[in-house]
Amino acid sequence: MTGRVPFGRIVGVFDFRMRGRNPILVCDQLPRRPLSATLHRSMPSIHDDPAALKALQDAIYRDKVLRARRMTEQERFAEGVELSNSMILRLHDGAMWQLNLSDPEAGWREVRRRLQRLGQVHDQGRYSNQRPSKS
Amino acid sequence: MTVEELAALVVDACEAEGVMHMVTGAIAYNMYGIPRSTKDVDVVISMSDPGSMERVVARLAPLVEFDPQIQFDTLTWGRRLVGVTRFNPPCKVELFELFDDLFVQEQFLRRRRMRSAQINRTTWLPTPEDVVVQKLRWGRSKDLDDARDVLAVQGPESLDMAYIEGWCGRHGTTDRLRTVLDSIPPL
Repeated sequence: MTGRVPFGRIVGVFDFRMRGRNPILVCDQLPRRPLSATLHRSMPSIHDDPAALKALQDAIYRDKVLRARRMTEQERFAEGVELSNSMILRLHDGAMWQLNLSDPEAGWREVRRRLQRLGQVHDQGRYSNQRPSKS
Repeated sequence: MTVEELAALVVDACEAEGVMHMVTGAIAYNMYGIPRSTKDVDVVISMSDPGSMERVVARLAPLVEFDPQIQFDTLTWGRRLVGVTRFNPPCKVELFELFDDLFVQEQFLRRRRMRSAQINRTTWLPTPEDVVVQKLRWGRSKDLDDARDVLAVQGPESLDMAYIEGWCGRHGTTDRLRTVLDSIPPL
């Protein structure tokens, strides 16, 4: 598979090659190296700049807070409910796909198993079956 | 059945049994913070009438399978009963007994009566200040995120910070409160 790709100021003919089991994107009109290496040089990753990363995280969080502030309590609650109901259906979809299931009930059994495990992790050390003796 | 239908079911069970209650956990958080998903309906139940918890459990039993093993939280040693819906999608119900912990008592006394269009019920919820104090007390990473979100969305200037600071002082969580407040970027 080949074609021309404009990416920022990089324009080149590219194709996919296999490196082991992994496809890599290479450019023919640039020195032969993976395009990712070229992009890495020309587009520094924000993860290499802690201050820029923090500024981005703060901006994203600020947007979330300001959006929530514009909502009423009822609207926030309604959105939480919508997210919850959607999340549980996505969990089911994921279990069905991952285990290649065709029976929805089997999918729900897997969701129950996963939620139970998740609950055990979250509750680790937080709950006990016995109250300590008063001594 | 959806999570809001389950919440309505639990509230109805409490009302039908004449049990004073307060919906807490993520449902309360969602009223005050940044909306997020949950798999649980958490309710604090008053034990002013002995057997309240058992009656609510019995009323919910056709739809919710409760673990007969009572659990105690290791922070305050309050009692908890956990159930999972018998139908799909599975959702968890957690019933917490109102006990003699001073903060839990205060939180319950200060609870707000609110009408929720989603569950089509009038129910009881903790104040945002009490949600913050409770989350800081638990102190898990998710709890601290929730406390930060409520503080950020409500704004410290509109919350009773003296009340929050007072309880944090008693719980030894003042450092957590400071850290959480410092983590909120300028809005």
